[in-house]
Amino acid sequence: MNYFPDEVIEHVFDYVTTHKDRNALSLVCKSWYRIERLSRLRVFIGNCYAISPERTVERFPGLRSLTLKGKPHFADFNLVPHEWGGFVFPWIEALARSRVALEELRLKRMVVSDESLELLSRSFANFKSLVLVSCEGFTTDGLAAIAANCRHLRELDLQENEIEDNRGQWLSCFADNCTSLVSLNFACLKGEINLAALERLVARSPDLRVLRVNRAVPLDALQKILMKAPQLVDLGTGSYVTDSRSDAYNKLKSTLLKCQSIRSLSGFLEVVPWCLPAFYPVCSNLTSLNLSYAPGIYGFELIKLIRHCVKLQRLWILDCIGDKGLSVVASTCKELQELRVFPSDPYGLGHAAVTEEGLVAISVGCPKLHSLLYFCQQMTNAALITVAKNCPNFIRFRLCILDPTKPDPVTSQPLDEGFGAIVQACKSLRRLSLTGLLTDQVFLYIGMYAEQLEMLSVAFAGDSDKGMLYVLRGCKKLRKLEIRDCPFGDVALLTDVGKYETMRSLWMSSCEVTLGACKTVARKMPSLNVEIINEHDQTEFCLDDDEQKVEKMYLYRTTVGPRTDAPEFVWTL
Amino acid sequence: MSKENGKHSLESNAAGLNFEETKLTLGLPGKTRGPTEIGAKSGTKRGYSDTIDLNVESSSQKQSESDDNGVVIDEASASKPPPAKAQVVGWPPVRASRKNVMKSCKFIKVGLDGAPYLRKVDLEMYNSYNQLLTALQDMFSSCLTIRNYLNERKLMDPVNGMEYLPTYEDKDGDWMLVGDVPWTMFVESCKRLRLMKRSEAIGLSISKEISKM
Repeated sequence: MNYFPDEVIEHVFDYVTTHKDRNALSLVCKSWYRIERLSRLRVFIGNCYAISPERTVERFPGLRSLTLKGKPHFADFNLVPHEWGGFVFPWIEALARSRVALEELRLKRMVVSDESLELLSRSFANFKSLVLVSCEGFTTDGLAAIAANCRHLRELDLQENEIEDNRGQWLSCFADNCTSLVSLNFACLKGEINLAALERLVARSPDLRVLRVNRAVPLDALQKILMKAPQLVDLGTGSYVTDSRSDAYNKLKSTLLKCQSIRSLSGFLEVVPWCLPAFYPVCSNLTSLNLSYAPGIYGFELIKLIRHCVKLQRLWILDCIGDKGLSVVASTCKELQELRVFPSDPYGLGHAAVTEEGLVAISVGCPKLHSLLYFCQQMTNAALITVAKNCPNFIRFRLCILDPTKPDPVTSQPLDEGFGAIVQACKSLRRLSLTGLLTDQVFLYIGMYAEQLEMLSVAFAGDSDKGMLYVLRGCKKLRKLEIRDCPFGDVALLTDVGKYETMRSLWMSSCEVTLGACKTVARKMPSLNVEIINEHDQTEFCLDDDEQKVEKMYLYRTTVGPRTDAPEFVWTL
Repeated sequence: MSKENGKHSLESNAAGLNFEETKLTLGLPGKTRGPTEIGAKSGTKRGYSDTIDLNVESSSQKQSESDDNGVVIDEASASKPPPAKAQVVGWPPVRASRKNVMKSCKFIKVGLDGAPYLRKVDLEMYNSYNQLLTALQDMFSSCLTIRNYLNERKLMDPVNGMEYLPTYEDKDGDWMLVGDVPWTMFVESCKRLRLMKRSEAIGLSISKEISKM
C-alpha cells in the first residue's frame, strides 16, 4: 500500500489541516492511521465526554493544540444547571503527566478552576495561547498564574466568561521580560485593573495586534495605550465617556488618525455617542464591527457611524438600529457576510426592534451575506421567501422571533413556507434555528431539502412526533439537534436509535419524552450516554416510574461510557 | 398525527392567551382577546403560554414615522399601562451577559422646544449637573451652546440669544427646574427632560417661588 517512506507521507499530510480531513486520512489504513496520529498537531474534541483525556494523549502524543467543548449549547441560556460538568482539570492533568508539549488550549463552555490554570501555567514551558469562551469557575488569581508563569505567552483571549474578580493585580504579574504578547482580550472582566501596568505591558509588546479592554479602562488611558500601539489590528474599547471639548478627546482624535491598521472594532461598553466622530477615520477600514454591548449608541449617531463603514464584512449590533438603520447598512455595507442583530430589550416589548422589513432590506443590499442571527419582533413568509431568493448562499441562518410562536402577522399563517423556502434555496445551509408558529410541515421541508444541515435548534414548534422524524430521517449530515418545548415524544425518540451514533448529541427539554423511552435508548445503544437532568422536584422524580415525563434529556455518543463526575441530579441511564 | 396522545391541550381562550397577531387595543393587559383561532394549531402542542406566568402583550406596532434626518421619533407614551414581562426560562435565547447590558441603563428622553426630534440620555453616565449640561449642549450642538452669565452656566441658542431652561418631569408627574435637588436624588426621580424656552418657563419659576414662601 505504501510506496513512499513515512516521512514523505507525513510531509503530504502537513498540507491536510482540517480536522475532518485529518480524521478521514486516519481511516484509510493502519499505516496512515499511525503516521497521521503521530503527526497531528491540532486536536479538536467537540464533546469533552466523548473520549477520555488519557486516550487522547495516547493517540496524539505530538499534539500542540487542544480544543475542547463542554456543556451543551443550551447552557448559554440557563437551561443546564451550573454543576452539570465539563471540568477541564482532568485534561490538563493528563496532558501534564504525559509531557505533551502543549502550546495552545481553547475551551468552550467548560468549568475552569484556578487550580487548573495554575497547573496549566506551570506544566508547559512553551505554552503560547489560551482562549476561553463562555467558561466559568475561575478568578483573576488564575489569570495571575498564567501571566506570571507563561513566559512565552502570545494570546490570552477571554470571551464572555464568568470570572470572579479578586481585585488582584493580575496584569502586573506579566514578567518584565515578557514581550511576546500578540493578543489580549479581557473585555468580560468586571473589576478594576491596574492602568499603569496595562500601559507598560502594551509598551513592551511590539507584536500586539489585538487588544480588547474592559469597562474599567477610561478614554484617556485608552488614548495613551493607542499611542504606544498604533499597529493594532483589533481594538475593543472600554468606557468611552467624555465630553467632546475635552483634551482627552482631542488627543484621541489625533491618535486614532495614526491607527491605520485597525480592522476590527468592538466595546463601547459605556459610551457618549456624540464623541464617536473620533472613530470615523477608523471606520472606513473596518471589516468587523461589534456594537452589541453598546446600548448607548443608537439612532442618529449609530447611522452616521455605519455610513463610514463601507468595507464591513461582519456586523454585530443591537436591534435599536431599527429597520431604517438596517436599510442604511444594506446600502453602505456591500461586502457584508455576517450579521447578528441582538435584542436590546429582552423582556420588554420593544419600541426598539426590527422586523421582516430590515431583513429584506439587508438581503437586497448584501448579496454576500452567509451568516445570520436575527432577533426580531415579527417575520412573514413573504419576507423569508424574498430573502431566500436574494441570498441563496446562507451557511448559518438563525432567526429568533421574540414571541416564539408568533404567526405571520399579515396572513396569520405558520411560517412553514418561509423557512421551507430558505432550506430549499440555501443548498449550503449548515446551521438553522427556527422560531415562530411552526407545524410539522416545516420539518418535512427541512428533512427534504436541508442536505448539508449539521446543527438544528428548535423551540416551541411542531405538532407531533412526525416533525422530529422528518428531520432525523432526512438530514443525513445532522450532528447536533437541540429541542425545547416541542410535542415530540417517545415514538420520535425511539424510531431510529442508530441515528444518534452518527450525531454528536441530542438535547430534548420540556418535550413529551418519558423515562421509559430514555431507558430503552440507553439499553439499545451502549455507545451513547443518555443523561437525565432533573434539578427540581428531586423527591418527586422516581427512577422506577417509566411513565413519567423527563424534564431534560441530553444524549451523546461516547467511547468511554458513563462519566464519573456527574452530579447527583444527573442520571446516566 | 392524532391530537389526543397526552399532549397539553390549550383551551382556546384559557386566560385569554392566544397567539394571533396582537392587535392594538386600549385594553389593559390580561383582558381576553376575541376567540379568533389560528387554524387547528392551538389545541395540539405545548403552548408558549403554558410556560409563561404573565400575559405578554407584544406590541407588533413598528417604529413610528421619522423626520427628514432619518431620526426616529418615539411615540409619546400613551396612557397604555406598561405590559407585563414574560417569564420563560431561557427565553429569549441570549446569554446572561447580554441581558445584563440592558438592565444597567437608565435612558430618559430629552426634548428641546422647537427641535423636531427627541434624544435619549443615560443619566447614570454623569456625576453632576455640570456634566449633564455639557452633554445636553453636545446633544443639541446645532442649536445650543453654553454661556456663562454671572457664574451661572446657561443653555442658549447662539443665533437669537434665546435661553433654554432645563426642566424635568419627576416621579410624581410634576415639572421641576433642573438643579434644585442633590444629583443622585435627581437621577432617581427624573423621568424625562425638557429644555424649555425661558419665556415659557416663567410660570414654572413663579410657582417655585410661591412654594418657597
